[in-house]
Parts: sequence; structure tokens; C-alpha cells
Amino acid sequence: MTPEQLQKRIETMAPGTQVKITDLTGTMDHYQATVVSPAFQGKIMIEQHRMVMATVQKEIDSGEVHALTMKTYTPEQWEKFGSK
Amino acid sequence: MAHPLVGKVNEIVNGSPVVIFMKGTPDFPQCGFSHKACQVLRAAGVQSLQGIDVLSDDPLWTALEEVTEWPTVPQIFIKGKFIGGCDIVTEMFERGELQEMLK
Repeated sequence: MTPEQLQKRIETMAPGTQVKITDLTGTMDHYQATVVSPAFQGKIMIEQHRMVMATVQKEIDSGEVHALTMKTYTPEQWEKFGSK
Repeated sequence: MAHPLVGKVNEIVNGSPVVIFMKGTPDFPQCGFSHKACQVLRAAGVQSLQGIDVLSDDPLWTALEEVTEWPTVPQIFIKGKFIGGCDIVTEMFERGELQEMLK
């Protein structure tokens, strides 16, 4: 899965979701994602992570994506914590 | 059918306010992520940390995976609720969310 494909896939999670992908190893299977979405409102962090994971479950299960670490933010959290 | 030890997992996580399933113990962690998670919890003010060593109880670990559907250790529970692993508690601590949850 290319970084572009991964970005587009995670963006399908909910309208207004913004995604930045970093390929950690250059091998297109260890990724880091920064995800900002209004759909995270009212969810604790693990629920936010599970929402993102669900969009790539198929690729995780098949091993195509070996690792996906992430940081998740509501738009308000992004304003407060995103710049650091 | 549910794993026979799922009941025991639920009993453990509801038995103490903060529970960590980890490799090793809070005093002698056997993995860097378990170690860091314990440090973060203590930094957040947790004084009584109930550690469960999954290295010494394999069947329990299988039951835990079934409860949380989370593939890695450590796994942290606060007030009976699954919160996440090392990355999540660290990020929650940095945002002040962990301290809020522990109140």
C-alpha cells in the first residue's frame, strides 16, 4: 500500500478527516499517521485509534501493512497540541 | 464460546483502580514498553499500580486478547476500562487526559 493509498483510505473514515502519512522505513509497510477528524469528538484516544485501524484492517490482517502507529486529534485538540 | 479465563480478566481489572498487564512486574519490567508505561502511570500520580505479568501466565494472556482485541502488551485499564498501550497512555499523559481520567 503506497502512502497515498493509505492516506486516501483513512480519509474515508469520516467527512472532514485530514491525514498525513510518514513511511517510517521506506518499505511501504511501516507507517505513521497523523489523523485530524471531527468524528473523534467525544471519543477517548483508544476509540479514535480503533476507528482509524478499522479502515485498514484488511491490509493489517494480510500483512501488507505491518505496522501503523498514529496520533489522533479532534480539530480542537489539533489547535492545542498539534504544533508540538 | 468465550475463553474460560475471561471472567478472571474482568475480575482483575475491576479489582483495582489501575491495572497493567505487562511483561515483568512494575518493579522489574522485562520490556521497554512495559517499563515506560509504568513510568508514565507513576508520573501521572498512580501510587498503587496493580501489575499482572503475562510472561508467567500464558492462558490469561490469551483471554485478555479476547477481551480487548488488542494484540500487544502492555495493556492498561483504569477503573475497569481498557485505555490502551504504551503509546496511548504516553500521549494521553502529555495532553493531560490521563491525569483527568485518574481523578
